[in-house]
Amino acid sequence: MKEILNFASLNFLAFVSVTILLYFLFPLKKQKWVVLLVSSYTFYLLAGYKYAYFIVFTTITTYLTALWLDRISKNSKAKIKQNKAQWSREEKKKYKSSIKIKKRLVMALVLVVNFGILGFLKYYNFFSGSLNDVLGVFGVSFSAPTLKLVLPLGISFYTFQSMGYIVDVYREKVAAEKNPAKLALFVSFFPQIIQGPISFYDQLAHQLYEPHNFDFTRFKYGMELILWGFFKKLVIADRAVIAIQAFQKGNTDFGGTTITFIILLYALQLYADFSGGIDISRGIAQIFGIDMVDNFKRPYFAKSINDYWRRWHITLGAWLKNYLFYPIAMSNVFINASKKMKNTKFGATKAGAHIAKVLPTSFASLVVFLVVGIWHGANWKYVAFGLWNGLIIMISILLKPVFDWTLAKLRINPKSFLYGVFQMFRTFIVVIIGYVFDVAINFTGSMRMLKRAVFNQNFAEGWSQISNFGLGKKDYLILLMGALVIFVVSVIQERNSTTTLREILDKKSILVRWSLIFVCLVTILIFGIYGPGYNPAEFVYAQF
Amino acid sequence: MKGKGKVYIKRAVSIAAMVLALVLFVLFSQEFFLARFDSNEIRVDGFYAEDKNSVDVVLIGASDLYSGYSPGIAYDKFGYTSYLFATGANPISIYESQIKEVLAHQSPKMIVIEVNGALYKDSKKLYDTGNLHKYIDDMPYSLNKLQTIAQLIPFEKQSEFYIPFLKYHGIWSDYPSEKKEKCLTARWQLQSRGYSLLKGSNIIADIAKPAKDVKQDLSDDDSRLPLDPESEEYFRNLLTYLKDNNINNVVFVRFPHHVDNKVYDRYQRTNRIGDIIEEYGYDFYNYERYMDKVGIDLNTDFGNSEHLNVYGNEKMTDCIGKLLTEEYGVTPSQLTDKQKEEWKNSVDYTKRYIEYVKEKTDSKSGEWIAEDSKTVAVLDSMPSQA
Repeated sequence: MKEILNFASLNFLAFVSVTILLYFLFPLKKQKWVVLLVSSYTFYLLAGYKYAYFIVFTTITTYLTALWLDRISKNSKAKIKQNKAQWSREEKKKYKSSIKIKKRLVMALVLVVNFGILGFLKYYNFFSGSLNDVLGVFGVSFSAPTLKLVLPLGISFYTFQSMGYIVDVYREKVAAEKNPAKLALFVSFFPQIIQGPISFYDQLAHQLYEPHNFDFTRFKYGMELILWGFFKKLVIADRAVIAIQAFQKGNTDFGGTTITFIILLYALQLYADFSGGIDISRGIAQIFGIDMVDNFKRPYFAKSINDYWRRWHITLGAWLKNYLFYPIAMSNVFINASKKMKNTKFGATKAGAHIAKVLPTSFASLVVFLVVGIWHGANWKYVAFGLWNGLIIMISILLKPVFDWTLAKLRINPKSFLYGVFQMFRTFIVVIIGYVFDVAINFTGSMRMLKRAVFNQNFAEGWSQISNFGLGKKDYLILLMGALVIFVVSVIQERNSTTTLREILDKKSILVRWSLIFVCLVTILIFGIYGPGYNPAEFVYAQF
Repeated sequence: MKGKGKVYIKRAVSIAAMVLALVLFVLFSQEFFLARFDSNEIRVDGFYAEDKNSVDVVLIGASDLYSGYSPGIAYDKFGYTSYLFATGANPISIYESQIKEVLAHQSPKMIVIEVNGALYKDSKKLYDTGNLHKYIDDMPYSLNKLQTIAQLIPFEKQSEFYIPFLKYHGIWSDYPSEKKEKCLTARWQLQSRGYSLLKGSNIIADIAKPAKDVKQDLSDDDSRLPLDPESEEYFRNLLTYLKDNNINNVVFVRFPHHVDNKVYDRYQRTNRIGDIIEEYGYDFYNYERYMDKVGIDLNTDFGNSEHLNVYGNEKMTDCIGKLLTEEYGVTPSQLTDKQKEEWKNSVDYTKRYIEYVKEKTDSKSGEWIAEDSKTVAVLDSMPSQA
């Protein structure tokens, strides 16, 4: 029944259809959310019941800890109120501080346990392997065992989402959910369990619990979004991945032209796969009346790496910004370091003042991207991927005055169209260099690939290698056409930031609208890579 | 309220129109464009194209059957109509479903079952979806089709059998393909003609020399080996089904093969299958063991070790014809004038086909010659044999 995990399988489509029917036909209006909960758990159990206890454990610990935190907050407030007259300011401050420490300890406990499980399952073998390598260098005979560990479905996504909720309860941004079943739904909502998006509690939870009546416009928009997602996933991503996997199986000793081509193809595949999957998830949620946050905003139109990460996997970025970046950047260590630097001789110079000012944010960025890298996978190549992005951002923050000065000297208008195109191109190059780490088998392989991509270009050899990657000329033509469609749609979306393409389409005549939908459906049915005989690629981000 | 009602109707009509357009698109394209397209498809389609209750004898089996028997020649010589309802590597697991199809579309005087499908060494071939597709894809939608899929196909693969489009939608990238196009065109020709010309014949044009270890005479060899247990279970289920439903007009046969050491165990299983058939009171004719009764020559009558060639086909057709008419009293059909005209045409084309295949066989081309558009074009250009 694992096939249900494949969005393009009839099983999944049947499952979604039944859930939609049950949801809207459910007679107890206020309890409609129960249908979503039962469906989500059914989905999870069908996908692999063996690991369900992990999500149950996370849900229970999250639920109890949130209640605990909530109770501590309420009790402390009550106590402060009760002792308002008796306590001095100092005593109040002291009490508040002790409560803060208590709450921090409670929060830390659940964070350590849940991230510990995630870390152990995901990274144990990576760290034990690395440890063995290091010990081997020093001739130590100790060998940490390798364990057969399997990651439970969506563990990264539901752990991040639930721990975000815990932090929000700690910060008293949201109240703890009293109903464990409702919290279980927030943790396990099936359209997002495979690959996100990672939602914030205050954004998603109330939508899940509110009853929604059937709304044709929502249904239509949801279906259109699903269709668009399937186009990206089945026509483009699952076709491109055939060549990428063939490349990966054939090791990294291909010519530079082939490597460049594959990296460009990977950029297309990764975006089509991930954003396609998210569109399907969001489309399904929209039919239920639930608006999930978009995870992408034309990332390849980004004008800087910072901008790229604001457009790519937006919800992970937002999560890290909220729960990692700010705590680091605003931490006493960095604030004090910044202050200290300002008071030095160097800090008195223009450059020194700038560096002192941006030091906390640049270091926090580096740490965040190191986490992003490790989150992507247990391999040194992902660490390198994170470092690459983090260092570029760090350098761009630190050297911003230099760049501004250069632009002024060269009399370049930073707001001009041409400079904007240059920025996009430059950012894209930086991004795809990062992708090399992703595509390569390991870190050494990525270094070899980069070297070959620069020094070993040969078009004739490239074409002969590319044509042996399991795709024919017709497939490459479809990929090109598909990329063009995505590009045109992205340009339209970029120009109409307030209106969605679906709203624009809605204003067209019924014939145009339905013809377009029919063409899209037929394109997916004929040109999509699905069904038996194909081994549909798992969503790339499902493994994270 | 009236306005709202109008909106609802408009939406319902729009959605229904879209769904209908999509279903029609899938059905049309899987029928005429995105299908498997091989000779099995033409053969199975041809069976369903025959007029209801117009076929006297239906032969069920695998490739050894459609390469070793010619319905057109049998009609010409013995007067009964017959059809080869056979597909490549047809496993025993599917035979009962095929009998049901036969009885749903025809009331044959005799059903001939070639036992090859029950003789496989293990049960793998019983569920080989590739082989099952050859038959199931072209069955019209019916309760029998749904049951066949539900019984034999693993759940996760059933969708591709219910909607073959799911499996074959990527076939567009094979075009231009001579192989696909000649089958596609043949299918269109069959649809417009309304009947099959060769009634399922598909002969290999070659002459195979027997291997050194081929058994020259097996008539005294009655050694036995048990069948694969699952195959035996399917076979016994088939016999029970026939018995329970009083389907007594059935005869089991084994067509000749080169029996060398490699397939000697299969020969032994064939002897064993004779015992099982006897248990249920049916007749079994093992022409592999008694080849001399048919006059089969090991040196000249085989296209390869597993299949008779056109010369062997002539002898076997004659043998089966005599068996059915002399032993089982199959008499010439009562056909309408239109049907007679069609069969006359089929005889003419089968004779041209035999001549064409002989030419190809003598030059040892090694091709399998089916009723595809290329073959039909060649036959069209040959003088009438009527």
